[in-house]
Amino acid sequence: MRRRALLLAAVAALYALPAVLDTVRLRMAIEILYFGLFAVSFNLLFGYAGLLSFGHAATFGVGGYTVGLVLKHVPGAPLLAALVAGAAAGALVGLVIGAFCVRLRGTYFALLTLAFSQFLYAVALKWRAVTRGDDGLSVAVPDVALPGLGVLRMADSGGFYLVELTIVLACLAVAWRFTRTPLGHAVVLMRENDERAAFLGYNVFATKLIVFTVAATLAAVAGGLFASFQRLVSPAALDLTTGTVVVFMAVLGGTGAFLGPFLGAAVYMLFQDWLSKTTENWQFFIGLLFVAMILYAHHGLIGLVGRGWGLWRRLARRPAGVEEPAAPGKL
Amino acid sequence: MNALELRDIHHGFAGLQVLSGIDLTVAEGERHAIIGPNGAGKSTLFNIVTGRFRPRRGRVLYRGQDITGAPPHRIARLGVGRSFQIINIFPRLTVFQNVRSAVASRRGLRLDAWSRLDARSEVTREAEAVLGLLGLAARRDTPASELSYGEQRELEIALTVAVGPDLVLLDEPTAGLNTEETRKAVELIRRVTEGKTLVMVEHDMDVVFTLADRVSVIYYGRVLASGTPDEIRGNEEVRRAYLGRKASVAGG
Repeated sequence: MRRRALLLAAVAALYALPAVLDTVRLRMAIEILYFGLFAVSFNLLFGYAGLLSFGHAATFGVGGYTVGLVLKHVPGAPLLAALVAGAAAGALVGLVIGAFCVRLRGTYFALLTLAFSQFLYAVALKWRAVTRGDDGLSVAVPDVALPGLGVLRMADSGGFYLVELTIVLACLAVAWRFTRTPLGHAVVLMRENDERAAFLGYNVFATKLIVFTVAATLAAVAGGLFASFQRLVSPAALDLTTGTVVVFMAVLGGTGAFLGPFLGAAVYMLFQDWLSKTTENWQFFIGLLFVAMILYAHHGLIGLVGRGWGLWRRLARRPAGVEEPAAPGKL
Repeated sequence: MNALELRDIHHGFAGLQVLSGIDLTVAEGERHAIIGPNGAGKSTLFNIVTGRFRPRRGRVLYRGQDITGAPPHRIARLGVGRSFQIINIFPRLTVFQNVRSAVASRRGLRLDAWSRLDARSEVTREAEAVLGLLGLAARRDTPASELSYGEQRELEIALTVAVGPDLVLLDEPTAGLNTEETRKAVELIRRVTEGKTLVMVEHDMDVVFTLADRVSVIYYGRVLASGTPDEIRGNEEVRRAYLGRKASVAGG
C-alpha cells in the first residue's frame, strides 16, 4: 500500500513537471524519458535474459524512420497511429533479427546484433530515395487532439512532454508486468542457466526470441518519440554510438533493477549536458566514468543507492558507537 | 509397454567411438541401474536419451514413441526428467525459485505472458510441497549457490522430479556424498521415484544393489550384461571386467 502511494505520488509529480520547469529543462526531461525507455528495453535483454546486444539501436532507428515515413506519406495520420506503426515495424525487425541472433551465445550473439545494426545503418545511409541519406528525414508531427479536452500542441514542449510521458509510462508498465509473468521468469532462467531450463521443458529459442521482440518493440517506440521530438531522424539514430550509449546508460544506472537503466539514462543525460558546457573534452570524462563504474560499481548507481540505504538503516537502528552484536550462529 | 527402449545406439566424438551398439530395455515402473567403468559411455547414453546429442546410429523409444534426435525441451515435456552428474541448477536463484521454475513448466506456464507468477498460489503450494518432500523447506529462500554440496545434490533431484516426469534419469546422484549423506540420498530417491520408472547411473555398488531391480553393465560402449542384482553379482564376465576390480579397490 505504501509503495502504491509512493508510486502514485511520483507519477503525479512527473505530470506536474511542465508547471515548474522552464523550456530548456523540460526539453531535457523529454530526452530523458525516451532514452530511459530505450535503456529499460535494452535491459530486458541484458539484465533479464543475459543477452548483451550491441545492436539495440537498430530497432530504435527503425521506430524513428517508420514514424517519420508514416507521418510523411499518410496524410492526416495521428501521432499515436504513427507510433503504433513504428512499434509494429520494430517488432517485425526484432523478430527477424532475433531469429538469427538468439541461436548464438555470448560474444557471437553480441557480434551478430552489431552486424545487423550496421547493415540497417548502411540501408538508412544509402537508400536516399526513402531515408534522405545523411541529410536525415524530417518529421512533421501533427498536434494531438484530446476528445472534449482540446488540443495538445506538439511544437510546445509542455504538450509534447505530456503525450510522451503517458506513452512512456504505459510502456514501462507493460514491461514491468511482463517481468512478473511466468514468461518473464522464464526469461531470467535463460540468463541463469538456459541449458538446465531446456531439460525442464523450456523452449530456449522461443523464450529468447520473444524477449528479443518485446525489447525491440519498446525500443522502436522510444525511437519514434525521439524522431517526433527532434523532428528529424538520421542514420545517427541507429549507428554504433547510439548502440553503445544505451549499454552505458544501463550499466551506469544498474542492470539488476527494473528502473536502474532509467536512472542511468537520466544521470547520463544530465551529466553529459553539464560536462559539455564545462569542457570540450566531455567524451573523455564520460569514458573515464564508464571505466570507473565497470571496475568499482558494476551494480550501478542503483546498487550504490541500495548499499547506502542498507548502511543508513543499520546506523539508524542502533545508537552510535555501540558495536553490532554478532548474530547467533554466525561468526 | 516399455518405458524406454534403446536400439543399436552408436555414438562417438572426434573419431573416438564411445557407444558401439547399445541395446537396452527398461520396463514401466522398473528401477534400472547402469554401471560401468569411467568413460564407458554412461553419461553419453543419458545425453542421447534426453536429446542433448543425436546418436550416430540407432533409435531411442520412449513408451513406444520414437524420440531420437528430438530437442531436450520436447523430450522433457513428454515426461522424461533428468539430473546431472555435475550439479546443474540455477545458482543465483533461491531454492524456492529453482523448484518453482520446474513446477511452472510442468503446469504449462512456460510462455504465459499474462498472469502473475507470484499470484499463482497453486504453483507456490506445489513448489513448497516438493521442498517439503525433499527436506529443503528450511532453505526455501536461500540462494542455491549458498547451499552445502549435499543440499545442492538434493536440489538437483528436486528440480528433476518437480517437472512431474514418468521416467526419471539420475546421473550419479550420490557422487561426492559421504556415507551418511548417501544413505539419506538413497532413501530420498526411493521416496520421490515411487510409482515412476527410474534409470540411474551409479558408481556406489551398495546404492545400486539396494535400489535397483535390474542392473546393466556397460563396458567399452556395449552392454556386457543385464539382469537382476543377484545375476549381475554372480556373472563371471562382469566380475572380471568391473566388479572384481571395484571390490579390490574398495577392499584395499
